[in-house]
Amino acid sequence: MMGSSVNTLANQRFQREYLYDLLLPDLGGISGFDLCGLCMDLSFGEYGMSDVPKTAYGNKRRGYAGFFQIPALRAVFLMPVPDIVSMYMNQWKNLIVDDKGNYSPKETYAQNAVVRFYDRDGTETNTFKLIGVFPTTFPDYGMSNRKEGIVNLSYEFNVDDVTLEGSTASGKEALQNSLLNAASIASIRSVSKQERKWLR
Amino acid sequence: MAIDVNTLKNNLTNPQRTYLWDILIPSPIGGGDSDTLSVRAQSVQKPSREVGAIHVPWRQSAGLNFPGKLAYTHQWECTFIEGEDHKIHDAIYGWMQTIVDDYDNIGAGDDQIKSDIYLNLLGVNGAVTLKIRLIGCYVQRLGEILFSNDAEAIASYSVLFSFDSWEIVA
Repeated sequence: MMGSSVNTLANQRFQREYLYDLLLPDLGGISGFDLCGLCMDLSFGEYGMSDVPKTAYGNKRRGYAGFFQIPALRAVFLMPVPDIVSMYMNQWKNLIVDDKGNYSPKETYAQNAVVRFYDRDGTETNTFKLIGVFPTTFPDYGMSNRKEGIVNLSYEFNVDDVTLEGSTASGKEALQNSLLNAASIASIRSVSKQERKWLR
Repeated sequence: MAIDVNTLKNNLTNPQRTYLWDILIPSPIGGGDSDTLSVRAQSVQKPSREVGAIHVPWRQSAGLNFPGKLAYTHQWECTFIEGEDHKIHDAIYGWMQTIVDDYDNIGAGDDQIKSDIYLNLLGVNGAVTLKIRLIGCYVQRLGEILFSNDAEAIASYSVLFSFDSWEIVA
């Protein structure tokens, strides 16, 4: 007999991929919050090892911890009229390097951003703080007479670090309930290190 | 206890008639006549709404569905009788010209081409039983009319409106 039934899933609450906010800092008189609702797509990630050094060991192989890499923050915005997104990003670009080609110190242009995940009832479930953020790539404008759409503005940002600022009380409670539920049906599921941390 | 016809009779004293309704377009874009549009409307639909389904497969079970996003058709169709005064054509054409002018191919701003439309369901005593507001409407399509010597009919237009959302007002 299998350790858990489909009811295990039925009693869970799952994070929807469309319930999020990207909160950017205010720059040059433009509120970062104004860009929040225009962000259509978002991706970011944690540190991980993209390349694992390996040695051969007889007919097996052994992997060893290598350098850690963190993926770029990628965001796609709808282009409004007037275009506050491009104005905002150009302000940010000018903080990195001015018209004369002089670069600023990192503390001038590296900012922090926040990504919030929400539950269906609007409560915040997870808050990620993205540290040392600044734009690195700017959009290619895809204009066409053949299509009927709104211009998308794609940006990539450097990220130095990502920290999970924690989930709300309701999020912790939901996690705890789901773990207790899983335990009660003698699930074979093991509790991850991150979940143990939240439960403490 | 079994439910008999009297239970239904007591429960449903006044069923909503499908022919007791009217529409109101308080501010037709492009200079149309609100009263004419209201009087000559012949058939409409109460807009639908649905919640999307996120399907999660699981092992050999049938899986589970979780609610997704709220969804509308975003389209609402109304049929109007046309008169020899072609007021319906003028109203709808004027609205569409404001969206995109067919001569110079210039349109008004997105915030200037939308208007709300009200659909009132009426009781047998004439009172409004349900008032629905379709928010952010613009004319998406003005249908064609078939003119033919084979038929005895009145010219009517099917007009497709796009809307953003709808709500019950009262």
